[in-house]
Amino acid sequence: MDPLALQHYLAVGAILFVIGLIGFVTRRNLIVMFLCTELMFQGVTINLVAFGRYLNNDLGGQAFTIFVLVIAAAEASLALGLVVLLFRQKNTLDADAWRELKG
Amino acid sequence: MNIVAAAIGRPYIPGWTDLGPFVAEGWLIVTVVGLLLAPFFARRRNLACFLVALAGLTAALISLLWVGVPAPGRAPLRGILIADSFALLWKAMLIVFTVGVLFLWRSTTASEMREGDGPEFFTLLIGATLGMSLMASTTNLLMIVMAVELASLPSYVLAGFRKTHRLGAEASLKYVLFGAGCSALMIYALTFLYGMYGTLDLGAIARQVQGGAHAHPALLTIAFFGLIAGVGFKIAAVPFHFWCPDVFEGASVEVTAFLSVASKGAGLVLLLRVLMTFADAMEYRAAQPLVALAYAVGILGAITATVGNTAAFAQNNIKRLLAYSSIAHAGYMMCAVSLLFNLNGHQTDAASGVNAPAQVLLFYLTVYLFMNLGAFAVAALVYRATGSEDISAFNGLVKRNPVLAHAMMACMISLIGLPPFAGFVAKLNLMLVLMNNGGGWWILVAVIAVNSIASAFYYFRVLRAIYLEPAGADQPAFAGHPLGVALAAGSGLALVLMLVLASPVSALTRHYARMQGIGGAAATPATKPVVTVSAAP
Repeated sequence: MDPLALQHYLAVGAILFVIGLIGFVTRRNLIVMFLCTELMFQGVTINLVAFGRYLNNDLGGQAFTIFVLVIAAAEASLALGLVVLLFRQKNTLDADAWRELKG
Repeated sequence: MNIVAAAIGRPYIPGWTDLGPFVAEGWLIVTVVGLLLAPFFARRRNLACFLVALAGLTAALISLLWVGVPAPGRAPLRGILIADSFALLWKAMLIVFTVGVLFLWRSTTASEMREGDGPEFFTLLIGATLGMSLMASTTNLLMIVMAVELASLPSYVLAGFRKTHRLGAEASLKYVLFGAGCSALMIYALTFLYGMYGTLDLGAIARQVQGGAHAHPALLTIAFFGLIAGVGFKIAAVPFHFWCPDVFEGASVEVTAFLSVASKGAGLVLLLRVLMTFADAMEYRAAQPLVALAYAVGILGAITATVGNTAAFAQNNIKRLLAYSSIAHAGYMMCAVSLLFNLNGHQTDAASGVNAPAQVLLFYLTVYLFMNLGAFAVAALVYRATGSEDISAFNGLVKRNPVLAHAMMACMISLIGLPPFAGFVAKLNLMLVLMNNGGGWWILVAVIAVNSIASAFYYFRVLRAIYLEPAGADQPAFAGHPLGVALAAGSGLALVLMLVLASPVSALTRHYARMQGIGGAAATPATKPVVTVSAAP
């Protein structure tokens, strides 16, 4: 009766996560890179809510989701502050501009 | 909606018996609040915050030792947090070390930090300490994620705290990028553990894995890979170590020292507890998932140690050298964590509840703490005097400041693992336990031995600069901040003392190497209903 099974949600979550991961690895613009980590976190939250809904209405997954949202928000605010700081130094958002430490 | 109503209908309010064992964490939270309020009441804000942080850490340490460990068998806070002697000793070490970091700050960076930056700096430092102490005492997936993030987020800021310093900002950028990626990977992988087993409690998950429920080997592999990625990032295990040398070079020295011991130690302690939970559920038998886990961690540890030591040869910057050295030592400690089963029986002694890998790890961390604190203190003071982090800045240090020179010698020889310093007994203990485990662990012993010999070359480069190279004309003698000199000398002395008192220290770590719910208490069956991934409600 329910046309949407757990797999569909998991698929959307996986797609979001993988898009985020690929973008994170390939893009070189700092803001886009951080957006891609946000995309990865959204994949995580879809997974959690779907698992929580389909697991005997367990609230653990939804509670976890709220914490993940907070973590993602904290990380984003921190990272964007840092991006502003770095942009003032070099006037570019290209990640390759910061290569003085040799990894 | 009815379950929401049910959950709200009987709220869970933890009482004193639940919160008692976590008074130390409570003090850390109070300290953070105090640090934010202190600037309103003092003119010298940095100094005031330093004193508040010191007082808070002291209170936390005293209350930690005062309250001790609750009677086994009880799970406070519904099993979300765990208080046991393993966590207690780690927290005590962490707090003592953080006090050392405070003194290091006082003797080096304090004079150049802008008045008013102190509150933020100490808030972040104590906040990270709180996260690292929580990392030691949980097996709940949500709490693991929260603790790791609570430790990570302040660390990102601390790494780039010198806002005007170009390298600091770059280091912070790399740290936060890499950290966000790794934590997303970890949480994504952990959702599958939750999804497959319907609970956030790792102990219950482990018992279901052992029971053979929902064998999805691929998902289980992804879950463990993600977990190791997230924790490996904290430990700086290969291949998640790229941030480590850059952050160590870019951050100021007391932050570097803090990350090198506290962050890595917390990661290792968490990894050990997680893996031990699984090993215990599988009764330490050489069964398929456990063997795969043990080998994965062991091989990762061996690779980490080798990569760290190999890369350290090429370094001329003392902080980068110590960064790679700390990667190598994290590798050695991961070898201890890989002791998940042996061929003779349990890793946990049934009568005493002493966990062999936990003892090795605690002993190694105790010694490692002083080795790194001393080495970073000397590096910081030399940097203060010369303005250079190059190894050549150490030229002729034995003439310029004999106390610091000898303290550095003690730390370096201890890091190699040679007598007459405590690094020797720590490494000997590690290798003996690995050797006695039987199975393939002698290979790790061989790897550690070869690595230790190889590592001697780059540690001796520093010693050669100190003792054999003549000081340049522009390198006069210097006194150094008395607190920093005392810190370095104290660390050196501690390394000697711990060799002399090796057996009491070993007995102490043995006494504390007990984990709640592991090896002792009978496993309770999982109560939660579970569904397979393909099931719909």
